[in-house]
Amino acid sequence: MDKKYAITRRSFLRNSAITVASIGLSGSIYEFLFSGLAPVTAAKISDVKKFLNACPRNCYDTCSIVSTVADGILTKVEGSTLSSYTRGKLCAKGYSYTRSIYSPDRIKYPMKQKVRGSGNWERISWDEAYTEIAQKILQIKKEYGSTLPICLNKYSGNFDIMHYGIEGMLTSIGNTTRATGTPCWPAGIDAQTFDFGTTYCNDPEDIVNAKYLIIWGANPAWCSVHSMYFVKEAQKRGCKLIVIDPILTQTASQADLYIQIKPSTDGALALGMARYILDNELYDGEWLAKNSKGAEEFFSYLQKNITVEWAAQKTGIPRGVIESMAREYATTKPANIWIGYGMQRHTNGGQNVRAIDALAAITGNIGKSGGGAQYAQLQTWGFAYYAMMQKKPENSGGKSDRLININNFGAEVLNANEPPIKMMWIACRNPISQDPETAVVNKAFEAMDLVVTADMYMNSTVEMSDIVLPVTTTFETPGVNVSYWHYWLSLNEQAITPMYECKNDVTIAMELSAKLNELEQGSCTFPVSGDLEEWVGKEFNDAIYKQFGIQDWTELKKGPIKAKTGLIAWQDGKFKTPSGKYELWSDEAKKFGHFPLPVYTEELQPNDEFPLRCISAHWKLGINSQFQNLDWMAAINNEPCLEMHPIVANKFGIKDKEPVKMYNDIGYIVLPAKITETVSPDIVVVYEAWYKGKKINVNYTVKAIPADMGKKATGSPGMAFHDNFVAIKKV
Amino acid sequence: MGEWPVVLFTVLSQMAAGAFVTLWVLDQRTKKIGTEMGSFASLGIALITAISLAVSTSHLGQPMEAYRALSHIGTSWLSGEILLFGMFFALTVIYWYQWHCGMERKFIGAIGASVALLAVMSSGMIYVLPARPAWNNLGPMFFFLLTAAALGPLLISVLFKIKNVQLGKNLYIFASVVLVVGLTNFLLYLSTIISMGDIGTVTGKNIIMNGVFWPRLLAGWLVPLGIIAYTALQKEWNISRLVVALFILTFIGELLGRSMFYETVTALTVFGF
Amino acid sequence: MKKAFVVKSDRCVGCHACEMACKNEYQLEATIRWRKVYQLPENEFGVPSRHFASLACNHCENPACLAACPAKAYTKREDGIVIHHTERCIGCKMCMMACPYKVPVFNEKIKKVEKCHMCADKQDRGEKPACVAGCPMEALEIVDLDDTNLANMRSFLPGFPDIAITKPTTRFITPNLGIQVRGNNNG
Repeated sequence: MDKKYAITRRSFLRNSAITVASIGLSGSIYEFLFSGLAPVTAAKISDVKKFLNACPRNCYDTCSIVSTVADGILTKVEGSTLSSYTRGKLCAKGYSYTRSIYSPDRIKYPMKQKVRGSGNWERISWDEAYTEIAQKILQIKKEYGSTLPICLNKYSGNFDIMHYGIEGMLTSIGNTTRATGTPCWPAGIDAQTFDFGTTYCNDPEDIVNAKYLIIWGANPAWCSVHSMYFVKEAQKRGCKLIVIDPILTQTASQADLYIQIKPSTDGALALGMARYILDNELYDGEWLAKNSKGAEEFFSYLQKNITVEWAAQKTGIPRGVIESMAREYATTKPANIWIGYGMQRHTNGGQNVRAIDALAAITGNIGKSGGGAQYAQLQTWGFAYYAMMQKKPENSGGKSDRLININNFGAEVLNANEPPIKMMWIACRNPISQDPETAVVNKAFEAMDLVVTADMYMNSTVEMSDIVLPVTTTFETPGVNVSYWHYWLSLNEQAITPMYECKNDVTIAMELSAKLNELEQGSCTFPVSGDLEEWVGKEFNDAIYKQFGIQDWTELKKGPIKAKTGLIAWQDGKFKTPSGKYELWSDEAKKFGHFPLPVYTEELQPNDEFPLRCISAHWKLGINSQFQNLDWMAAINNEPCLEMHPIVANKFGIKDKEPVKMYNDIGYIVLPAKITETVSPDIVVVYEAWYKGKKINVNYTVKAIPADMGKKATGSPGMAFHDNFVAIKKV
Repeated sequence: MGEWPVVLFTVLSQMAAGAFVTLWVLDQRTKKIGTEMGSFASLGIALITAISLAVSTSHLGQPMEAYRALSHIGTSWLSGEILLFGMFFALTVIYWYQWHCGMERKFIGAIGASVALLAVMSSGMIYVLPARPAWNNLGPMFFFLLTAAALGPLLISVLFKIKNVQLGKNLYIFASVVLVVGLTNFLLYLSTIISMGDIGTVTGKNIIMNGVFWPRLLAGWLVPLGIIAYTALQKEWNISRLVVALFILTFIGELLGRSMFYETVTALTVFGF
Repeated sequence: MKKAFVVKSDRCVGCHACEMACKNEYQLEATIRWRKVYQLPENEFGVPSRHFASLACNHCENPACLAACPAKAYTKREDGIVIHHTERCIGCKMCMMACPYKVPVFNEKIKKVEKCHMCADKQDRGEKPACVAGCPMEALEIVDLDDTNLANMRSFLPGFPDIAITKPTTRFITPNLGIQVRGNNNG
């Protein structure tokens, strides 16, 4: 080859290699210098506002929220730092609110399906919806001579005070049928009503002052996480935490002492402890003499019928543990007990709560800071209920509202006679998802002429309705909220305009009233117009103003406000019982068919055919049928599971994550197993929730077994959700 | 095969690299390759390299910004790989040009062959990550080099066959040695990671249980070896009629194997998840 | 300065508020989680229990993501925070392969990777990260490892990937176990 060429080629080649590398390098250098490693500047937002909101869910914590709205869009929510209970933090559900509002699944406009359950929805206008509903109401009134065939099932989907306007709406059309009572907590409420006169707990922020705290059948780690902070704070200050639960929950994992009790035997444990306290003279005789009625009878009962041996055998807890716990509880001052709602969802739930209340009474732990028997309070709920208080129209027909048991809804709807029930209005409730005996509830729906549901998402109740009316979230409408646990009052401001065609339930009531009166003057007394913020203002009364130390409700626009009085329950010793004292012996209880003392009522036992007890506890990513359907929640967990102990799994040959069929005589579900030693071997656990697109509902297997109490304070007995006996088998 | 862009990129680029080395070695040792043949083969190599690079960008979330992948040479093996394959591509073009014009090509060939080897090794090093225990060894690099060593010569045979040029039996002996080494390496690798415990065992099980495990073994190693063995027994080294089948089988085997490589790997777990 | 997350597994009750607070702050895509709450293996501490560790990015001293990234889309600030620069990302997912903690996630909408940046923008304004501020149990904290004397901090919990790989700055407080009394009806 020519040397000249060789040199040229070599240099050409060298230069090429350098060029290639240089291009790459300078490209990256160029990028490095000119292509932003600079901080990203905030997008141009012109208009940022903050609003006060409140979480209206059926939750202890009822958080005070601060919403950030930019250019009319809710961009984030935070806990309010102005509430010493919310302390600037929300829970997983609260933080997911933006996704709830802007979820693509939200129902946007009124819809109707010609065939219930077909899924063939067609859009209708609000006017068309109101017309059809009003016409049906009037037709029923004509045919039956009253509006009693119209039934309202409304509960805790939204606990904003103004939402009691829904009840008001039904009142304003005449006498109607009402699903009465509550699935949640009535047995315990009755128990506390018999013992104290009403349910009344200390300010939960007072928990930090306890030196001994028993959390009995409650899981605040998931269900009242703001309280869990105070529990931890108490521990920091030297409080010993005992958690009693058949499940080793997240709360139980924080305990100094965890006691795994046989479900539904809590009363036996309390009575066993009481017997020990009696025998060792650790009770507060002075307090009892001054404040109680029936101590002598109670002690006599203990001596004749209760032994620690028996309690140990009943509860599965070693005798020594019961005795040492009794001693510690009685001698540590102050000692506090948190009675959970889960604990009373048994056939003997009410009696069990009475027995636990009695423990607090005999040790003089009532009416004291850091002490007490905490269950709930309705002290802060003394509103005017302006929206609820409507008059019945002149030509109402019937004598009064007909009350049916909300906890046996399906059967009672079907059994209703003279007149039968022909129309349902469902709001703030999801009975097909949440009620026991789903099949019966479905049958009840099928028997209706018209079912109207006001809701946000296409859940199982909406699927079985004729008309669905889309409602607003708490951020799209004004309101006011309090809690049944803490003592804060929160105003809820309208942060954004209602999405799509959604309306507040009170607006719906007003517009329906207009339509009814248009078709038949005087058929509905509900106001036909009004400003929602004014409605909120009208919920306030002097009692509330006094309790919270404000002159006008507009002061709440500065932030949530705490009650000024009554923060320690029964501090003045003035019980609301007939005798004015704490009633260990309650004649009132006798009136309702219970033994007047807090005796032990035998728990329901499983049988050979269905040997396992299924506890359908509350879930961390949802509250009843809300939140878990959101994609943010599904990204964390999108599958329900059946928790079981390895012994149970081995017995049935089930491996972790394998599908299992859980069944009894009324229904079944199939779901993957989760093998864990954190549940006791006599139970299986399913967390109740609505998973979007999944037809798994533990309530298929739950029978409408009533709890022992609830009728006195709430109108119907409670639900023994956790007395569900099942069998399992490998699929 | 959700990872098809990287599967194609790695297999094609390694094939081109191996083919380049093969062509250069044959050219230097036999001096018997005609200009037209060499030009055709080197063009094929350049085109395949170009296709592989183009395909690789569709693996990116932002294909149009692929040039930024050169920003971290010296630290990121991926930057190094892109640089080296970029250089390799340029060299394949120059090499073809030299063949085409009948110019001296010993040095470009040598540089190109070295860059090809480095590029393939760099590709392998990308995957040597502590976060993926089954890859955290010389495995990836060996797999990639063996791909180059198996597919390179076979590609050259096919290209030569197209131009009706015959090759001697040494090429096929080399190819069968590579296939035997490849199969042995794979089996040794499998047993090593399975005995690692934990993640390694999981990955190993994933591989064996994978749907394409047996097809990969058959197409990529067993059947080609069978064909070559049959030919050897017949002492019939003029197997140009079987060359295409050999190539296609091995190529499919490599694609399947590469796709398994990406699919079966398991990362370290965080608290068991 | 070496900013680090302290994960107080003795206070954490696995409520997922931290995850959601983060998602809420940045309005993340539905399936993307920058922070994840992990349940620790239940028999890890002697008796069965439900304990948790909440992890986002560990802002490692030798970040594997930074080293693997061909586009130099990661930098480590003076204060130790490891930042991913979206503008430079080419979506090659190398960082996802290299990270032992599965931290970077791929955003299908913008076809780039993203991850926790310890709310660097908020911290620069004197605020706490969304997860730290949002945790109702105060189970997360930011400390400067160069300047802290939290005596019971550990650099790992059982099940955490080998810290020698990238030297994560995240520190842990081990859960406390109480006494458990199980009914005498189980084995």
